[in-house]
Amino acid sequence: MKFPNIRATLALSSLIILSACSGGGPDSGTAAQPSGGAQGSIPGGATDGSTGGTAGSGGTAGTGDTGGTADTGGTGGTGGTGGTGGTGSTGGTGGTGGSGGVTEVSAPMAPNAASRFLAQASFGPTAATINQVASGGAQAWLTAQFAKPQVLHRAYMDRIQAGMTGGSKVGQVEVFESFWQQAAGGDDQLRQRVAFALSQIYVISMMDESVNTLPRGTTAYYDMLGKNAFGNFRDLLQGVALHPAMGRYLSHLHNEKESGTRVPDENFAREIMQLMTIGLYQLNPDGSLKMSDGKPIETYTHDDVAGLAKVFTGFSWYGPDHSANRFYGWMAPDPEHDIRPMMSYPSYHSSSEKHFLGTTISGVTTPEADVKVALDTLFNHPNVGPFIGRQLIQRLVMSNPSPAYVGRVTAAFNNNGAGVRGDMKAVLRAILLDNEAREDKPHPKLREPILRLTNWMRAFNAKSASGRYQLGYTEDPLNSIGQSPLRSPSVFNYYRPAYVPPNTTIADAGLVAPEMQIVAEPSVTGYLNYMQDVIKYGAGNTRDVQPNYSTELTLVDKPEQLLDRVNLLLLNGAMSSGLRAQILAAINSVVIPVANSSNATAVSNARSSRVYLAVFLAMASSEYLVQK
Amino acid sequence: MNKHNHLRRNFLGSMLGVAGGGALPFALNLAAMNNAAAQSASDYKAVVCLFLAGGNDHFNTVLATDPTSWNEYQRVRATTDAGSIALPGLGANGGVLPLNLTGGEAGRSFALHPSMGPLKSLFDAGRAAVVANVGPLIMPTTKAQYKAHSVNLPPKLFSHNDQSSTWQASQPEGATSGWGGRMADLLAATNSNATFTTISASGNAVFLSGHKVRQYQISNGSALPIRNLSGPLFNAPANANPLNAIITGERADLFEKEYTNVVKRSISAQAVLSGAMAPAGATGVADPSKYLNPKTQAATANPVAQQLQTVARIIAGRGALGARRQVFYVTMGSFDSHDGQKLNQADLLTKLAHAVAYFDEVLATLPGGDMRKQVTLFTASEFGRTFASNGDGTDHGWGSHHIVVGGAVKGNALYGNFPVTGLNHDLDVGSGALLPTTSVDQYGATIARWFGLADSQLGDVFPNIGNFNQRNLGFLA
Repeated sequence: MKFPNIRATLALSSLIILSACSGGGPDSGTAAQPSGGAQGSIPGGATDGSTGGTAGSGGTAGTGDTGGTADTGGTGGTGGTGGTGGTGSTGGTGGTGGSGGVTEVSAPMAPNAASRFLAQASFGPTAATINQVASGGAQAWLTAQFAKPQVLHRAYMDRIQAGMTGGSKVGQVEVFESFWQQAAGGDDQLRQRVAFALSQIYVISMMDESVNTLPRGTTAYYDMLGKNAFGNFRDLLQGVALHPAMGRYLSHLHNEKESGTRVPDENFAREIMQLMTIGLYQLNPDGSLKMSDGKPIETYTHDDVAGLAKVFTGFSWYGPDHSANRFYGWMAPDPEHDIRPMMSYPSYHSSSEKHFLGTTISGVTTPEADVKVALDTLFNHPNVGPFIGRQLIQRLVMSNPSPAYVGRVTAAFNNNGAGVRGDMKAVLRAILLDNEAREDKPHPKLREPILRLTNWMRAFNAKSASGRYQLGYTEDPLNSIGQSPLRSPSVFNYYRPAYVPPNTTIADAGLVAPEMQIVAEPSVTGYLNYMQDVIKYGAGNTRDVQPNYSTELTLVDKPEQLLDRVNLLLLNGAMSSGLRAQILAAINSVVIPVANSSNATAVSNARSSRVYLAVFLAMASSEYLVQK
Repeated sequence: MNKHNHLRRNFLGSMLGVAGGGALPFALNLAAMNNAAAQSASDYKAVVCLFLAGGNDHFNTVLATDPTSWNEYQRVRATTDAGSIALPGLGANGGVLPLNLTGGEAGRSFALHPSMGPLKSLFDAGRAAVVANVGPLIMPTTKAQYKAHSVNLPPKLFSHNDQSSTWQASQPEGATSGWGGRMADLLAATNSNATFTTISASGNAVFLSGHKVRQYQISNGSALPIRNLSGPLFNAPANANPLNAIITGERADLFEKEYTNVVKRSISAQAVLSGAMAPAGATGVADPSKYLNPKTQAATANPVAQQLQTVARIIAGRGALGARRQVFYVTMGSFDSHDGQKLNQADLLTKLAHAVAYFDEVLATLPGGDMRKQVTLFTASEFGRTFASNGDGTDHGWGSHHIVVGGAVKGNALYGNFPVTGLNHDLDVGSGALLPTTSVDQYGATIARWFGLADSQLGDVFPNIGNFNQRNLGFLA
């Protein structure tokens, strides 16, 4: 029993009081946890429910608070259409499979369960957020998170730029700074975590110079993902399709209509179908393949790509005029060219008939109207729910969701309960509150390197001395963690959702393990060496990011309690007795000298070493690396 | 089926024999290695796959320059756009570089992209050849059959990830073994240490995974140790340092188990490889020079040359590694030239030619002797591109021209059929994208035969080779 069954433990409502870790006093009455560590037992701390009061707010799903943001106009009327148009032959799936449905977690949760929830829904649990979720429940936490204001990454770029002198310009490192700053310290954790997940489906990458020349545009793109993370999927598509950073990355910015031997660029038309909406094969609502004569059915042909490519012609940089020079980018750009949606240049837009996915657009129309038809068509395709829903489950919760789980998320995508299709809040509730996400069973997912680092930063309240979180490039697998945010090698992300590591028991079991695609001899070594260094000395080019182990240091004389805390913050309470014993022995091997007038440094070093051992050995273990 | 199982059993048996009784198949055995070192010197071969990720525009890499072809090339590709992708002709300033290839159709002549001067020298020296219009095929296919879907076709054509996988592994994404790895399955027993049979200097490539063989990955040209794996750790004395036990202990959870397996392999391989590789620099394998970046006009480090330096350093260490057959994978990205092709491809092909010429040079002077005849490098790429231009770039195609380089190459020649230049011909499957006339299986099988596979073994590696009459294209001696 690695995870206390939520339903069974609701009544316990045991809430450990972890020091709020606010950076203040180093000893703040920490964790009155029993030691001795029978795994899964919930330390019976005091419970005062001080953050209660939200418990009664369940059942928010379906309040229809999506409404769509005004800037698309395409959303409202399409709700609920299409959903299952072509599914006739599929055996009843999705919707309401068996045990399914949303777990009722409006009441308090055990700390371990709260920590596990926060591993899925945030950049890592902290003592404070564990207390919030443990006392108020997961659902109330989601509702509160949905209401948090968004802090714009782009504003950070503007602020740093304003302070630069001598013609310096913000670049990629400032994008990283803003990412780590908000991942580590942002209050709107759910939004930031979902934006990160979306950035791995709607990929732009600063690895490519088309994007790394637009650092502010890159943050604006990321903000767009963050905004629509709690909006409607149709608006997300609109934002992605017309963002100049995506326009540059997939080259539909200044894409021209056909002429003579010239044909429109097909890049974005292909990838928006293959990767961003419907995928290659028709799916049942539960994500399984629809079959015809024993074969999967392709969703589109090359003719559909060519037809859709014509739609995405005649868009380029935002600006005050529609000149050719602006279209081609041969003039000084508008100051907002990198953050405003691309605008249409009708004279470069194909006016021929456009056929795709069974839809025809006549020649006489506007670029915007064409895009609306195209995105509405994609939005209403029955594949979107299972295709995107399954990937979001994989990014947040587990690598191998059951078909029934995918089906329930699809149902929430298709209809939020109020007749609205594409409500992202309903999708996120369905993903994070599903019984399969919350039940007391291990559902493995390898933690990716960025999440390991944010987990550490958040658990130990790491702060940047400069305020800038100057971690620099972190993608080197041998000398860093093997992953930089917003720098995947290609539009296919750091790893693929269906990756199967060859010649493994994972493959034999018919499972996928996406994050294992970037696990190799260099990266396992690089991670261990990087963390061993960072845990002690801090992270970043100038050790800019420093952990605060003040609470842990108060526990070094009580190693069992130190391990309880590390277990809760890093392993979501799932540390095995074997690992616990190994780390405990190592901690106890460091003798803390009896303090006297001349050995303060030795005492301090010994105390710190105990913390380093606890944190590093926990993070080195495969038990930690595989989130369950 | 039976035959296949038989091969697997044999392979596993010989592996166990080499590694010693109870050891894991991939465990290292230094004693066996040292034995093998003595016999490895004379019989060694390596294959190097240089993968051009993104889909290289072959139409601007190898060009037909006879007047009929060239006029058609200009008609289609010379658009009025500022970024027009048509290259200057023979003799023009910065024009294409003439080759004097044997094997082409009478009346046709050929040239290389203007940025590929160092590679042209290898052609002229007889150590490089072109294999024309290669791509994934299940069986020989005509345009009519393609249009009618009347023969089996490779699935998910024109899709990057799927065609990368199809090129490397004969199946779209999700494949778990590639033909480099499958060749290695059949030959790994000749190595005393199977860990170093397939090696990637550039990330995870399904090409290198066999049914048994696992790829070893190396980054930054070195295999670093895990710090404080033994000895004291954070003031815990050596005898109380549990790091090794924690990261290598047996695990029941499958994800944990497989992660741990990689950790164990990393530890054991590093101990061997770091001592076996030749050093970089004057005392070992010379560092690559910088190349002149045509976009910035600055001398710039060449990452693919650096990867090839790592390959050369491992080849130089073949004796200590007990290696007699090795398959390597190196890669270059950014070939997906939907836009900005003119400058971007010029940069990429400059790097490619610079790196390949560097590799030829260091192999000639490797510690232990000239290895050029024992090492064959070939290019691969998920697809070629459309012949039609979108103004400043090209879109996803299918068949593509490829280049093989090495002392065993019967060079300065063209193999396969070089298609007519133009649109709407009988190999044009849309916008000039080429229906391949030589299959990846044929291309690979030719390399596999040279590498040491018997003709009867080809079917185990190349699932569709039986559908093609010509199983050896003859470009290797």
